[in-house]
Amino acid sequence: MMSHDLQWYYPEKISEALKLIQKEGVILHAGGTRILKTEPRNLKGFVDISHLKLNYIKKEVKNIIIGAGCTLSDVINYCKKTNSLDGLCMALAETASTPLRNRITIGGSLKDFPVWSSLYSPLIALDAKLELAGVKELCSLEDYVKKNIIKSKHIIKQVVIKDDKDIICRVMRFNLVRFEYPIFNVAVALKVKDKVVMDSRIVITGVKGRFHRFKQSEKVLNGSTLTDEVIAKSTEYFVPKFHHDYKYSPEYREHIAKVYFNDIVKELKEDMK
Amino acid sequence: MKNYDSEKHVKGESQFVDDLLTPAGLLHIIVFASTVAHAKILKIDYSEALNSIGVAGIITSKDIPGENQIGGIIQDEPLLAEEYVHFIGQPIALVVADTILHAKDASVKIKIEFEKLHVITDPREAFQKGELIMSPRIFASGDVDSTWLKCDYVIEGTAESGGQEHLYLETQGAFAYPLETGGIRIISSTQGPTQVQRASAKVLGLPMNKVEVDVTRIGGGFGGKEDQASTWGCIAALAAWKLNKPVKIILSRQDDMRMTGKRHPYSSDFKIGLSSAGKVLAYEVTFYQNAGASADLSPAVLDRTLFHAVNSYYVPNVKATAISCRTNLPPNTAFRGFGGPQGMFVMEAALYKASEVMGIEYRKLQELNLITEGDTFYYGQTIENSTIQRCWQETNTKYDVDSIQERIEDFNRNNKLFKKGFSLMPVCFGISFTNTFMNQASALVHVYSDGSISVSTGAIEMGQGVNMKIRQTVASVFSVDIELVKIESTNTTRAANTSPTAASAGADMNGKAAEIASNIILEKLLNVAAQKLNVKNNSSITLKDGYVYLNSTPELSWFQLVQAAFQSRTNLSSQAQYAVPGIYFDRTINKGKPFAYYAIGTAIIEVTLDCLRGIYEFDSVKVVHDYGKSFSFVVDRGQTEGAIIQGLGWMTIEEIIYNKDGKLITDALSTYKVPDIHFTPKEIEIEFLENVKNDAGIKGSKAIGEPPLMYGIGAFFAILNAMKAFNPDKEYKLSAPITPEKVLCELYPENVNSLV
Amino acid sequence: MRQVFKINSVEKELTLNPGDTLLQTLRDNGYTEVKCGCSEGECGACLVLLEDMPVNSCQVFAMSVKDKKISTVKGIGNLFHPHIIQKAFVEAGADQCGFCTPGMVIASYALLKKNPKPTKQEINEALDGNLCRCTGYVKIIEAVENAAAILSPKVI
Repeated sequence: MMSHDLQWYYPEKISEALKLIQKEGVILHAGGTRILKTEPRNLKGFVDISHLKLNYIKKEVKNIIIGAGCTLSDVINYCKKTNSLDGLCMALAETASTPLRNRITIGGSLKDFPVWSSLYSPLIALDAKLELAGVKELCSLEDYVKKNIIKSKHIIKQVVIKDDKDIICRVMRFNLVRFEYPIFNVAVALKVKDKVVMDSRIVITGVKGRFHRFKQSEKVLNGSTLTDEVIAKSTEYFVPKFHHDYKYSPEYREHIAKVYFNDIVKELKEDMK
Repeated sequence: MKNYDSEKHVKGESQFVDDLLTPAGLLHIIVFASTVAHAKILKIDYSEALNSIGVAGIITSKDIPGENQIGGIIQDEPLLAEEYVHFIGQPIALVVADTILHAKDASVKIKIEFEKLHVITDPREAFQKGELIMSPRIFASGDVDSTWLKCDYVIEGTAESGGQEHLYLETQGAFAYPLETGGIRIISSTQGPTQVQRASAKVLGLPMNKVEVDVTRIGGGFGGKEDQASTWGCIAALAAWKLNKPVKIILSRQDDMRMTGKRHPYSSDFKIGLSSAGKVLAYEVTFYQNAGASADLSPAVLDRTLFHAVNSYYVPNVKATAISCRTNLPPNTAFRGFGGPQGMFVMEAALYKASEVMGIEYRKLQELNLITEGDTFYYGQTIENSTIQRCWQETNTKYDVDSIQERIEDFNRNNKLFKKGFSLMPVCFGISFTNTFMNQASALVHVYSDGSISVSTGAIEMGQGVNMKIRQTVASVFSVDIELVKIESTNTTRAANTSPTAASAGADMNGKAAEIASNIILEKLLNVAAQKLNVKNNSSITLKDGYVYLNSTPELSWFQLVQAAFQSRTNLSSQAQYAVPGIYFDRTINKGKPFAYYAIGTAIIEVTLDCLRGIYEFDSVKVVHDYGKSFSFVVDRGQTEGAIIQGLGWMTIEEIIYNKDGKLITDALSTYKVPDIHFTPKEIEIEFLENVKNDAGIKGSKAIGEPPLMYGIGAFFAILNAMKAFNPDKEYKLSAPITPEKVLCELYPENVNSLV
Repeated sequence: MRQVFKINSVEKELTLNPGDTLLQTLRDNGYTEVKCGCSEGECGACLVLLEDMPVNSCQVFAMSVKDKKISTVKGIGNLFHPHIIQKAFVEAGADQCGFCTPGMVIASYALLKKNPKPTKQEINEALDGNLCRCTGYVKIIEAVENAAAILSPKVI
């Protein structure tokens, strides 16, 4: 992969970086670990933007804005300090290891939807939006994946998440040894007012089509107080479709995913009180 | 007493093979290896690769000046493949270039054509097809066939245990360069410098005195570098010799995992016969050992499986058959325990199954059948000065096993989705190489004229503290400050014809050799002192804490004594050999006394199982172990803890998976899971059995390297017990490693359509 | 190519290829105290401090951190009496073959600098990226606990 003639570019502005990555074989590097993990071929150069200070986290009116250059550790520390975005924090805190979390960037975990990313399910559940360099309108994460923006040459500048104290979220990842790529991630976010679920978002990653939202399950939860019947009915609609792989059968993983979904909703019910 | 190198380690100053200063013009090797498990090589085209930038040469089997053979016990292993390849990762050619990058670039330009042949990865299939490493071996005593009818219960079953990757943190590697005096020097990451020397000499067609191997330390061995370091040592030596340049080869982690052998997986059938009271009357077992493509150490590993087929129990009628099966996988090799753990696992599995069928508690069956003083194992060795019963009893009393059981049963009654389980594991492990001739070691001791001491033995320091033990032994012979004693690197010019540091016997044998050599010098020094102090004989002379005492008066310092000896032309150097006495084994009848002594102990393991997720946590591992008269609590505890964790890993999360084409699927740290810090049991308690001394061990101590690994076997049955508490009606497979995935598949079989 | 780096408080010009990881660059230029155990970011033997944060140097591009402060185990600053951590490791018998030790010391140092009184859980978290095959981790945890007990929390 790594030839002797690789060029390093250190642009002063994001717009400059965006121009540079349009070249053949030139890719973005923001200080994360994705490139070394994926080993792309025929590389000609790196556009290093790690010095462009995209590692900020700020509160802006009703939103929490996370710069794409933030490391997972940056986000975890912020969430712990400000007591916000519990679910996201927990999902990230269980990813990889301490030294890796000091390098893995938010942007790198979103671009190309890497298999090890634990970001997608909580962010989709929280209805996070992406701001891409040079694009005025924010893009929802679901659109980012579904509209194949993922495949284009773009730069993620920041992630915008609603800062709403009425939203509670939990994430569970299925992996059998602590330090392992997740087999799937389930995230559930509920907007709760006066102990009634106003809105819900239920997401799973690690399935066919990369991720899936269970809109029918959400419908069942909406307007309810999460009684046992409601939870059971919602679980009925929670039917994720998995690929085959050498480790587990899809039926098996569906079983566990349902169990996890149930667990999460029950925990959120406790949080509601 | 701490490890010799501790201070260097924490400062990052200790050097391993890849850290050594290398000369300008150093070349690097990338091994071009087979990508198919079994094939005939039809055509190889090296032309494009040879013209690649920076390539100094490409070496094939045709370039080998001596013999293309590195097999030790059986000569069935070529260094470089000739006409056929027998496993994925088998070396075919060496691409040598000025940088690793250039070597890699060149190696992908090599064009090869294979005619694929049938691939065997399962040992039973190999057996059916007659693909054996050697003829089956049988250890027997009594008459099992006529005993079955006398048994109230006869239970049969199958037990499987998986391979295990050594995962020494320092991968395999060697650095070799030609010597101006003719010959070659190899710095090798090996447990067996003589093995590397012998193999390289054969490959290069040189006499052994022209091949020097030097080792300062290795970053972990665990058996993986006992024999298999020879491959990389020979490769470096061959390239250095052919190109007349210094050459280094360091395997990447993935190459190391793909190309080297691991712990032998075993598939075994057992038949156990018991009286209704629970006494084992007969035990018959057949072990199918998955040896891989060539013998390597398989025959010796097979031996040890046979020697440990009944673990710590007495069985009057035994028939143990072991079959070494040739498969198209990298040749499997030594790994801490060396076939012993695999044999013990099947015995424990048989007892466990018997306990299920008979409705007698597993630990009661274990206790009832423990071997006692004066009993004889089926291979002829009688148990003497045994602490097996003591360790078992003390474990039960000190850790109050009855209360543990009560507590666990209570928890299980009150919890649906979490279940706890526990298991006791007694260990009785024979110490000595099973091949008697290997039980020898040598040492070279110099006392320099300034009083400082240099010691060279055949022992390799890999973190087990052997250098510390030897250093302490020598210092105590002369009764001087340990700071005066230096342990030299392990070098074949200073210790010749050595056995590898293995079988947990390194400290015993090399320590005793150093002790003998030191005592020879001591005797001479005492005579010099006697003369200097005008005394007739040296019986009233003692050395104590750096001083020479005549009766109880200090008369001379150590330095003055040494000076006096030197001036009087006394020989202050000594070489000695130690051969373990009293051991023998007759292979015509498979009877004898192969072990100098046994390492003994009992552990109790408690586990909590999440029956929904299949994951488990070890609540505690509590051990009562017979260390003999321990040299150093810190070192012995460290070895025990490390071995236990490795044993736990072997039985649980460490799973080696080859697909049916012989390709390693779990070939990276992301797919092969070794215990990390979260895996450690919440509590590890170790008690050193008191008032024990082992005359056959160095300074009364007992070997510690391998035995504690087998406590990990208890983890398997503890987990099984927890699974039973969740679903008591199911008969669980006796198949290790019991990964969380396997737990789930067993607990919820109706949800799994396709198993691997 | 050649590039100046700031390693262990010393500015030094190192030789490297543009695509080299920090691990390769350090080792090729003599900093052999940083070990290569897997090149996957899984074993932690290659840990260094990057602006006082522990990172796997095998997962970092050297040219991306040329302006950052890099510390290996040989250069842990004396602001924090690192020899206490190193001493604690030696006393506890927390090292056997020594290969994982530099990485462990770096991870422990980084932990105690940020959190002088860590709980056992926090120690586990901090060292969760470091593999050891020899010790079973027991003595390593003990060494960190002992070092924490000795170090005064006032010195930060």
